[in-house]
Amino acid sequence: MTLDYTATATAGNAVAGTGEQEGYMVVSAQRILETLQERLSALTGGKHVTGDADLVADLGLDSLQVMELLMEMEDAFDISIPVNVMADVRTVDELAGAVQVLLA
Amino acid sequence: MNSPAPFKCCSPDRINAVGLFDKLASAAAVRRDVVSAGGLVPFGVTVERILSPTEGVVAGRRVILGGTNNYLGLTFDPDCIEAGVDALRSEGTGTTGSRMANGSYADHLALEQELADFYGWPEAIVFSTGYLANLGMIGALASPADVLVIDGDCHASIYDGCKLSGAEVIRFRHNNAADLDRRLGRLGERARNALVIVEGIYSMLGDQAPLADIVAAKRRHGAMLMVDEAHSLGVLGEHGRGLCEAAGVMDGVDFVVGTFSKSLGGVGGFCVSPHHELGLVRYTSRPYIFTASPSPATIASTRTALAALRDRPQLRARLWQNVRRLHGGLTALGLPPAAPPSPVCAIARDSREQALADWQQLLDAGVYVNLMVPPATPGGISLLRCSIGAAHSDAQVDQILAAFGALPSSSGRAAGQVALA
Repeated sequence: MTLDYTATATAGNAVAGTGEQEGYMVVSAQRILETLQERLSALTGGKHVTGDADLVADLGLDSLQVMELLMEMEDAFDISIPVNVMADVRTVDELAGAVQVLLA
Repeated sequence: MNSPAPFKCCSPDRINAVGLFDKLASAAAVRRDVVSAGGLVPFGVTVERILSPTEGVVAGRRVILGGTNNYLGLTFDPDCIEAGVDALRSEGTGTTGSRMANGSYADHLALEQELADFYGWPEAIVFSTGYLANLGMIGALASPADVLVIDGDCHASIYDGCKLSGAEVIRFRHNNAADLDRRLGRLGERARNALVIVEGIYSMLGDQAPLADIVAAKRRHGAMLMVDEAHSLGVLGEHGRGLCEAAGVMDGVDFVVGTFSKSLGGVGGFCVSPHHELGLVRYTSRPYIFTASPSPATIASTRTALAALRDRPQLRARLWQNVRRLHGGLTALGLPPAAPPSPVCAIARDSREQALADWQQLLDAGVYVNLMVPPATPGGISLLRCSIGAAHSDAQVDQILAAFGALPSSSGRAAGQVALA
């Protein structure tokens, strides 16, 4: 399955740690990863979260927690993350990459 | 217990089979973990004999059925049985094929007309189960270019319908219309191609959707709305049409899906809509086209049950008397259900072990309820789910309450005192 990244990819609302140019949000890959690590740490009760950690196998997230994580990232960056994206996402880095494509 | 015997790997074929079955190992582990003190696995319990809408035999014991969805108590209704028996004798045991290939029986079309009339809308489609109604509707309405915006706590049949459609799926936080509004807003122009999907009553906790606010949000963004009234048909609304009627938003709903297997005491599903285009779904809906149509007896008993739902409002009144008695009683026992009064009363337990022990104790006291554990439950909680119907007597409700009152975590007030309080 290939990812459908035709979803809403730009966002209007400013988010902490982002710069705005002509109404479009510019979010660095670093900022996305940090936000993800922050949320994941909270979800897993303070686990150290590396980029190559597998969301399920390493961090032990269940399907409901993955759902919650997606919704938190949607709200943090004001984007729509189709659930379907998760079919190709296993690790923290891969999810960060998917979010970045949606923001591009 | 009847756990499957381990495979002996004696041929390459068998080795492949073990590989496929490996995926089932984690499910088997869950099953092993959830064996009650009485040696029962609470999922898929065998009802050895069914005695009435409210009683059966489980594990050799006569029990009150407090864990079915027989909301109007119609499964043993003499008129429904008579209609089913008549159809069985006059039209045979089955239709032996799909409606698209083999044709519809006149009674399939009659039931569709009666459903449409019941809602005052032009068209209805009957599906072979409620599960297939969601697959059939969502799969036919949405294509990969469209967006489905669903409540995060929606039933598995809605999730599976989304998968079948190939559409983009966005979830919003359970029963949070502001969250839905925000997510529709993010879609921009694409919201006009979006279908929002919610349920009337959610089956795990028995809570209702804030439908007026949801309708307002979908209108603001030009989206369409589907409401699954599986647990609310015959239960909510002045005429029993469900939450759409109770919330006064019939004119804001585009599709109602539902099931015959709960308040109507049969099996099957339907969709009804104010849109004349609904009928076109028949030609693209795989779960409609590629499955056998409901049997004549099923259709006949469902038609009679729908007439009862429509013409005997006293059934709904009786259901709500029982709901109030059960909900009030549980609350007084210090076991408040997770949602406001509803035919589904879900009691949260601190742990899976406690829920399992309570479940067995209730069964020993002659009360069968449902045990619900993650991931089927929202928020990772374990639940004792008790559901009530119009056919339960006051004495049966009190017996259910007495059994709950004897649980270690209850405040222990006798059910009789509660009922009189």
